[in-house]
Formats: sequence, C-alpha cells, structure tokens
Amino acid sequence: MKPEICLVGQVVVDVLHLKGKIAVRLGGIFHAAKALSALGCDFEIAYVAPAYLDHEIVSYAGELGATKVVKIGNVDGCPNVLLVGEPTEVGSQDYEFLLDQEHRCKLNLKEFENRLREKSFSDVIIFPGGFALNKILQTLKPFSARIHVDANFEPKNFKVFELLGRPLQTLILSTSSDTFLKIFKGDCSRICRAGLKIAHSFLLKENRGGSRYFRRSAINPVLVPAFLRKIIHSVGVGDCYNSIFTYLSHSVSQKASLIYASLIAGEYASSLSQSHFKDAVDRTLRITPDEIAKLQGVSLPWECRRTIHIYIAAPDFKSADVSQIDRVASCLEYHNFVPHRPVRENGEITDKSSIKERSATALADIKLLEQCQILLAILIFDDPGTYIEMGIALQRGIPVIVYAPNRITENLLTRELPILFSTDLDEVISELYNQAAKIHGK
Amino acid sequence: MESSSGGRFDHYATPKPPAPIEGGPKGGTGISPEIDTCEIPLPNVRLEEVGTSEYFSGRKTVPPVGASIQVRTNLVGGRIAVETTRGNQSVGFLPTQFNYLLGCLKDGYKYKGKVTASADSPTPRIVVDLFSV
Repeated sequence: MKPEICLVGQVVVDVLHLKGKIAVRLGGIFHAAKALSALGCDFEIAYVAPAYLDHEIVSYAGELGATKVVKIGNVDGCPNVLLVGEPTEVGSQDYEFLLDQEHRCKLNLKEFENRLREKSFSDVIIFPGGFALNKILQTLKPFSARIHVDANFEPKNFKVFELLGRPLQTLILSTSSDTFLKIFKGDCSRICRAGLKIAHSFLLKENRGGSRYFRRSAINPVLVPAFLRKIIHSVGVGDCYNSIFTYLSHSVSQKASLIYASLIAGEYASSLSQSHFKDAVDRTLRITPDEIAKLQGVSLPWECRRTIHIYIAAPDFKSADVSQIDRVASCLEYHNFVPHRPVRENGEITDKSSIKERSATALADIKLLEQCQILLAILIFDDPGTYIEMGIALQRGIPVIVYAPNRITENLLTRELPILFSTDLDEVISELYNQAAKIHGK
Repeated sequence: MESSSGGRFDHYATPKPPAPIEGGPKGGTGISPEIDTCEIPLPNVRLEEVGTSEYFSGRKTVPPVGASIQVRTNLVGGRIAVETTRGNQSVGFLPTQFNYLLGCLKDGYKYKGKVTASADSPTPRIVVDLFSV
C-alpha cells in the first residue's frame, strides 16, 4: 500500500542571507512537503500560520501536489518570519524568529478531525512549535496512523507524549537542539533511553557526523553516515530527511531508507530550485538499496568527537585581531570537538619574558601539539610561529588543515602539503569531520 | 541588500545563471541553482587512498601529469573510484563529498578528465580535473 502522509506544523517565512542576496521562502513544514512532492508521495498539510500567508500557502501547496490543505490554527501577534544568519551551519545556526514573544496561536481542529476520519493516513509527521501539541496528540489518539515527531524545538518535556495513548513510531532529535544540549546535557545514552520510553524508535541526527537510529527491538543502532558536500543552506534539511525516511521506510530496509534520506537531504541543501531537487531525487532513487547500503561516508558520533583534540595554530595574540580565531574555536565547540589555543593555554611571551619562560612555553606548545590529533592553521597574517607548527605537525604525520580567510599566502609548501588549504570555513569544517572520522575509525 | 526575486517568494523565482566571467574559472566554486549539479565541472579534486590503489600497488608509482582518467561506474568497496582510461586501473577514490555523483552515473552521466598533479612521495598523491561528458 502506498504511504499517505500528513504533515502537521507551522508555516513560517524563511529569510536567508546568501552571498549578498536575500532569499525569501515558505518554510516550516514546507521543507518536508517539498521532499514528499519530489518523491511523488501522496501527502496533505495541516498547518498553523498567520492569516496573511493563507493564500500563498494554499497556492504553493497545490503547486507541490498536496492533496489537501487544512488550516488547524491561526497565529496572531507575530509574522512567523525566521531570519537565518548562518545558512550553512558551520557553527550555531543564528536564527531569529521575529516577535516570537508576541506569538499567539488559536487552534481549531474540527476540520482536521473530520479529515482524519475520512482518510486513513499511514503516517503523521508532527513538527511541534508554536501550537498546543497536547491537543494535536489527543486528536490523533483514536486513529491508527504511525506518529513521528521532530522534537528539535518542542516539547522540552516528553511526558506530553503519553497523551497519545500509544508509543510514537519515531522520535527525532538533533544534537544541535536545546533539548539535547541543555535538558539532556549532550548525553546520548540518557536521551536515547528517554526517547525509547515514549517511541518505538529514536533517530538522533548528529549534524555532519551522520545519524543513529535506535530501536526498542534491537540492541545496536543503525549507523548512517553523512555525505558531506558543498551546500548553500541548511534550513529545513532535517525536515526533508525526516519525510524521505518516513516515506521510504515503507518500501526498503531501515538502513537503506536512512541512507537515501541522508543523500537526498544533501541534495536539498545544495539547491534552492525545486525542479533541480526533484531531478536529484529521481536519480538518487536509481541507486539500488544494496548499493546505497554500502556507500561510505562520514560517521562520527557526537560523544566520539570529544576524543578529537584540535590544535589551533594561529597568531592568537593580545595585540592581534583574533575575532576569526574566536569564530573558528566557537564552531569547533559547537560540533563538540576539543579545540586547543596554545597561547591561551600556555601563555603569551612578551619582551619581558625570561629565557626560561620562553623555552618552557615553546616546549609546552609542542607537547600540546603532539597530544592533538589534528592541526588547524588559521592564517590571518604571515605568522612564522604558525608555519613552524604546521611543519612540525606535517613531520609528525598529524593531519594539517589550513583556513586562510584572508588569502594571505601563495607559498607553495603551505598550499600543497596540508590536507586542505581553503578560504571557506564550511569546507574546513567538513574536512575536519573527514579527518576526525578516519582517526576515530582506526 | 538585494532580494533575489524582486519582492516575491523565491519558490516562484527562476533566477538566471550568472554570466560567465571572461577568463574566470569554469565552475566548481559555488553551486548555482540553475546548473544541474551533475554537469558542474570538478577541478582540483585530490583523490584518496592513492597508495592502496590498483595502479600504485602494481607499479609503485602514480600516473603522470596529463594522464587520461575517468570515473568508474561501479562502486569499489562503497567508494567511487577513478581509473585510467587505458587499462582501467583504479588510481584512487573520489572524496565522499562527491558521492552524489553516483546518482549522476545512474542517470547516464560519465566523467572524464586528466591528472593535473601527482607525486609518489612523501605520500602518493594525485589531483585530477573531471568534467561530465
């Protein structure tokens, strides 16, 4: 039987800053809708939004092939506009949901209830946030559809899921979410236990490190690699992943459906054109499930990244502008790596430092370098210390990656000997994942 | 800041591809939504696992600069391999960031190119330019 999926959630307006231009798109559950549309899946939308968007929502949902669009709640006081400051997620996604404190939503679930009686959906995917989830769960309780919930934003307390009267089919969460980072303190085991208490399966998405799919029925999770590539945005990519997995899990193995979802989510992040995305989905589905299950990618679970110590070789001096070093260090921490800034850890040498202090500091820096698994050089300006540290790391067989935001050198050895020389931080972060996964896999 | 679609939602916009810059790079520096990703040239791709490839294992050297290479259509151990056009010997794997090419290969695209840099030491290394044919 062909899956029939209902998407429940808010529609927002995404405002993306892309290389000096602004892209304005319908977002929220539309990301999942675009993925289902590209698959040719029968789907419906039950949405919450301010009234000014209704016409556009109905029109665009129709264009995507939604068989029915039901408004389940109206938003007042807030335009549902999401400003996205960091579209590629090299670090924390800098989201600003305009006037979020003024957001008021009034649900009206009559038509939705009628629709649930008329049609037997195979799956309902809920994207909570901005509406009363308890009422949606109570409404769904009498119906047999498999319920999947992406809990990235809400709820913070999983107790609400008891209102469904049965386990969720899938609870989905990202390691970037506040729920994971703040409520569960980044503890994968704890969140997995909590997830499987209220759901048959728990999907933990781990950014560029892949994802893990835990099941009540199996001891070991399914490991799904990430396929890192050049992307132009990351907004809604997780929603795309969820819906592709939900749809394909009806016809292929869980592992294969998760890998298809991962590859297709990469395609979604690489284009803003729905027609090109659909072409990419079509050709990805030409890869057989056997082949796709063998495809190698980057697999680096969240907690394993704490074993990857990264030496930041850079002119990290009080007298220098270190804002770019700060940014990189913050990105590495966001991804749960352990960055080391030798000048901060071992101190800065001044004109007044004694020979003994100089020697001790130099040795401490080298010792720290040798304890790290990767060296990341940040070439802000021509700094001899950075080049020497690069040379030592190369000689020791420690992978060296160079981030040169200001393109300051054309030096042959500096460009040719490292694993990567790049002016693009997104590329640098992906290569760090590649190298870290190789180290972790050894 | 400029809006990409003149005050409308972008899902209705059909932006034109950027005009090529005279003497500029042929591609690979970014992704235009109007260029099919399968057709984007792949310059300066550094191959992986060169030292354990069929070619290096057999000859103890890497192919010279200018050697013709192509992308193999079948996976080798879950990886996309690059092979010599003559002899079909694998010289290394594409980095996994290019796994999306597997879908392109299924779609009938073929990829050929040349070795643009290669060295046997300190570690065997090959850089290639690839383009769809």
